[in-house]
Amino acid sequence: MIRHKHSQYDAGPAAHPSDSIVSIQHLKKSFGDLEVLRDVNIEVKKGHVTVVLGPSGSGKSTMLRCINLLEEPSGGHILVEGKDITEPGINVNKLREHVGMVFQNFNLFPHLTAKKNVMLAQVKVLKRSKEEAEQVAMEQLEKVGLANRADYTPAQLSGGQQQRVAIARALAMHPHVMLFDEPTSALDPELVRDVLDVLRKLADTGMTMIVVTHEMQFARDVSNHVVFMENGLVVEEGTPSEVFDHPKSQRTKDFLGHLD
Amino acid sequence: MHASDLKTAFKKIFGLAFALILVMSISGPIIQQASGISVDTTTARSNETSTNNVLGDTPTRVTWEGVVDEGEQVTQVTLQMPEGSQFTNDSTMRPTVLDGTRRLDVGNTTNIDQHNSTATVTFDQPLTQGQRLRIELYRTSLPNVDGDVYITGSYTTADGQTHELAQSPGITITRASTEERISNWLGEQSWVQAWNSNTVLRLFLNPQLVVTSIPTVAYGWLLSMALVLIGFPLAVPLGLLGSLMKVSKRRLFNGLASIYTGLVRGTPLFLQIYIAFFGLPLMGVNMNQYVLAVLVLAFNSGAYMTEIIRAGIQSIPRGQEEAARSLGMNHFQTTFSVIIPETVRRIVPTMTNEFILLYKDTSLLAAVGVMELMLYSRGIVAVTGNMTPYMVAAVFYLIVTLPLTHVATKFEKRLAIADGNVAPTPKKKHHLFGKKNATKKNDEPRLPLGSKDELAQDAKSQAGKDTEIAVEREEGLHD
Repeated sequence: MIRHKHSQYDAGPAAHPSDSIVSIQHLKKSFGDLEVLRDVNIEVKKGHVTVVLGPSGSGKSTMLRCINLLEEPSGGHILVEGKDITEPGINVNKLREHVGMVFQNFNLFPHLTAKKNVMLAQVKVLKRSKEEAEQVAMEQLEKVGLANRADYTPAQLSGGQQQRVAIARALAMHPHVMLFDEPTSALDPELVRDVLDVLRKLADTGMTMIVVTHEMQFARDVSNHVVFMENGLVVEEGTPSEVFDHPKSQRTKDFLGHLD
Repeated sequence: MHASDLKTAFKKIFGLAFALILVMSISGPIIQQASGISVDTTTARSNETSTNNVLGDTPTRVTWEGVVDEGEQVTQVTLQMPEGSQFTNDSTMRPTVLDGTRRLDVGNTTNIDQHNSTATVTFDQPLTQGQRLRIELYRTSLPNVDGDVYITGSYTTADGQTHELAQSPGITITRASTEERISNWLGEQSWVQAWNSNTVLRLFLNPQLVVTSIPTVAYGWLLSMALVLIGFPLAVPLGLLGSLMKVSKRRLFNGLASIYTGLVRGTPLFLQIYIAFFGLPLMGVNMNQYVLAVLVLAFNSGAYMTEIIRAGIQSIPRGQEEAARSLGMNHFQTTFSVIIPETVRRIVPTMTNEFILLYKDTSLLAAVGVMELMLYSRGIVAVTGNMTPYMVAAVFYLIVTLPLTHVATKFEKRLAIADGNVAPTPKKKHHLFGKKNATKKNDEPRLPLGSKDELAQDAKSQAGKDTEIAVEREEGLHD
């Protein structure tokens, strides 16, 4: 069954760049001599789900990590909600409050329960009271279907459950953009579905999402925009049907051919 | 009223006079016989290990000496030990007759009466004027009292008359403690005697010395425990500070911490103790030696803890910091809310081992005279010439170190399972610990946990692109 895309219910984003919540312009990133991002340009519209595809080493994760400055860009500009985050003197912590991130390896804090994982940054960064943070935490855990696991530690949870807690943890900060760095890659196949369901529901709420993934079906069903990257460059981008059904570049065809 | 006063006064005077007559009639012969043998020496050899005390109810050697008076000829002397004294089958007596400094060979027979606590020597020829009789009683026990006791007795002259001996000078006794009495009792048990007949067992595991040294060694143990229980917690903040300086990007902090750990870990604790205990007084700094001991231990251990905590911090996967930072937490918040708490969990086994090491290292303080477990046991060894107190000391070290080692190993295993480094054993409650990681490890072909960051992935893939893509293809098939 083909799911409805949220863009079909709402007004739909306008096409001009000012609607971009994230605008990546000529982004470059090198690690020493290794040039990982050569010239990346991506526009992410508010409320859109953008899926980034590409082989390993294409730089898609590095690009994602540049958006919340876990990696410092070597060149180019990134505008988040109109603000250039590559400018010196930017408040990195403030930026990150609005840009949630979910990692491949979940990165839950192992010494804290699921609930406390979700509460920690709320209390420390947003200065919410414990009661409020707990309430928000329970709401978010409820949304990812893990309210009944609130008092479990990460070690007591499956990978899929951990990833859903990690999503709840990011959402509790009420971010404006969510970054997903291969959120299902470290999961057993049978656990992938639960996480993708959470992502689908989140997309339905109108959350702006940038998802680096290898889940093609998910990309087809949920995304508004697909970006195909290779060797630090965007090789092809467009709507899912454009990229999947009528790929223009030979490299994209090869890649998708490998997968299908 | 008046009459009755008078009556009691008379009664008292009458009673006193009667008592006086009675005393004189009894003591008369003693005064008279005092000229028979003049008793001038009675001593008992100290039988307590660490003091000069003579313990009651403990085998000792008693020496009695008397000189035959003018015109007397003595053929037999019987010593009556004070009430509560004991002779056993092991008890022996040795009479010696001296004329001036010359030892006379006078034939004699001796007899110890265990029941009446008397020791008798009978001479073949009577002792004459000026001859000194010394009687040594081996392995006899004096009564278990605090205070002086006296040896009395009698002697027989050549004409067959028996007279009372003059009371000897007093022997001061200290009451024996429970463990000393247990030790004495043990000494009489045949199995203990059999045990002690083996040289090795006697020298290293003497049951009596085990019993008598326990209270002293236990006291030393308490002191050693106190030293480490105060020193160790003092070292923790030092180690935390040092480790934070070490992982700091600031060169000054880093350098200072490196100098600290380099010097302290690069030199023996023994040397550090010497410098502190002899160097500080030279500089006019005098403090209680226990305080100084604790400070030296803390200073030393702090350096090791610096490295332990530093290693712990650096073992936290980078993803943890990234996750915290990506939530908007600043460096300080990340360090103290995420990194340090997780480090604590990881370093518990190593810190337990550090505690064990520090506890054992308290023994080095013996070298500068800080009374602790080692020095107390050495004190007993020095007096007894027996290794048993050291064995007791070993036990007191082990009762702390062995359980802690066990605990540390358990923590280590639990941690390894929680980190997914070891497949959990099926029968134990592994669902608490390793499930996610264990399954992921086995089934997940791509990248292991945590520390591999994107840089590694990106860089690595340049070389191993083909295999990586192959793996990706596999994953893609899941869709």
